[in-house]
Amino acid sequence: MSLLKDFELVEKFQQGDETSFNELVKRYQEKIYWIARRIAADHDAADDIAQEVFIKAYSALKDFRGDSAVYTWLYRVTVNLSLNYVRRKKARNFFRIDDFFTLESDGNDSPDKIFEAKEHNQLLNEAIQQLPEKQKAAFILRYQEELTYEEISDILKTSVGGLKANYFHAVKKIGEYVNRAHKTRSI
Amino acid sequence: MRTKHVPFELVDYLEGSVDAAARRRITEHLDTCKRCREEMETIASTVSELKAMPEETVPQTYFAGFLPRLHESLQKKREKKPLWNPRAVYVTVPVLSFVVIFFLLLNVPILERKPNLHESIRPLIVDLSPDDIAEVMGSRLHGEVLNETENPAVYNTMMRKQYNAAKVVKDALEDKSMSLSLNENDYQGVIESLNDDQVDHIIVRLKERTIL
Repeated sequence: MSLLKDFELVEKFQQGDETSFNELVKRYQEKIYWIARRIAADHDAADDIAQEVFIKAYSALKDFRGDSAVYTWLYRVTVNLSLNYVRRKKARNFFRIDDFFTLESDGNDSPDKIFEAKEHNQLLNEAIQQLPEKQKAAFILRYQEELTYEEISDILKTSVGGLKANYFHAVKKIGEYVNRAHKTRSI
Repeated sequence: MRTKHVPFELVDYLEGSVDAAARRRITEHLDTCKRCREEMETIASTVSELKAMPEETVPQTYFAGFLPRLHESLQKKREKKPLWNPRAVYVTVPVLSFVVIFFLLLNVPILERKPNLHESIRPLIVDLSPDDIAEVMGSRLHGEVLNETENPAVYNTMMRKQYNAAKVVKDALEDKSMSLSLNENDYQGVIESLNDDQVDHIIVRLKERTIL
């Protein structure tokens, strides 16, 4: 089963094989979660979004014609749902970056070093959350998910040139945010 | 010759995620372009900080429980699913509205048409045999019935039974409520002068006498 390509799993699912759907979920659940998690910056929201993506997929894949790759469709829905979540949260003036996740450590770091690393990571995450939507999506898909520009172009329906510009400006803005934060905190 | 500026390729360049040809081209450009070099210096520290970001993790049990929870959600969704497709509302509501309005309009007096004598009797003759028709209609409307049936057998039956039917009609016409009297030989002229209500009355009488 695991050797089957995505479109083959979709075909089997369309023929009534529910296990093929399960295989697709297992194949993409982590990537979907992390895209949502990085855009929404909230574990519970990311979990809800990931579940919703697959609930939508369960219905949509029955009519899926294969015009695009399955993962492209899944990632696009994930990005859209995640950005919708961020918009709603911003509208309610409530946005926080949770600390549900834990940072990987080799176990030899001192508590100070762990705290410092966590604080710096928090700052970078804050900076990512401040990015405009397009830059944020481009940055997360390119930098954190390591997708190619062509893949991201299919997902976000944006030109490769535009994505490269978004990516560059995103990194630049993250740097500016971190520098400003350091200056402010050192005062 | 000055080559094209490369700011939008710098993050990939610093990350080492460009191919050899692109790397060579970008390096050559940076050697000659101060502006792009400055851009690179601006983002270099950010790229290395991002690279140094520790990997985020979630508890191991989270992904193990993802699929079972998904199936629970799908099951709940199936249980909540309405019997009708909400999208169907867009079609059914206008269609049903149109049908209801159409039938309401049919009952508006302006659309009503008073049936003529022939039409008022027609529902009664639909279920009748040719002989019955002959008995009831033998005098007044037999010509029309004949035209419709185009059946000589019916015509003969009508003629044969006409006399008996005339007796019944006479009896009916002599009913108190109709205040008429006639002999058996001039029923034809009388019947020709009957109004619709009187014809209906005769039909009722014929039925009471089990002729129909």
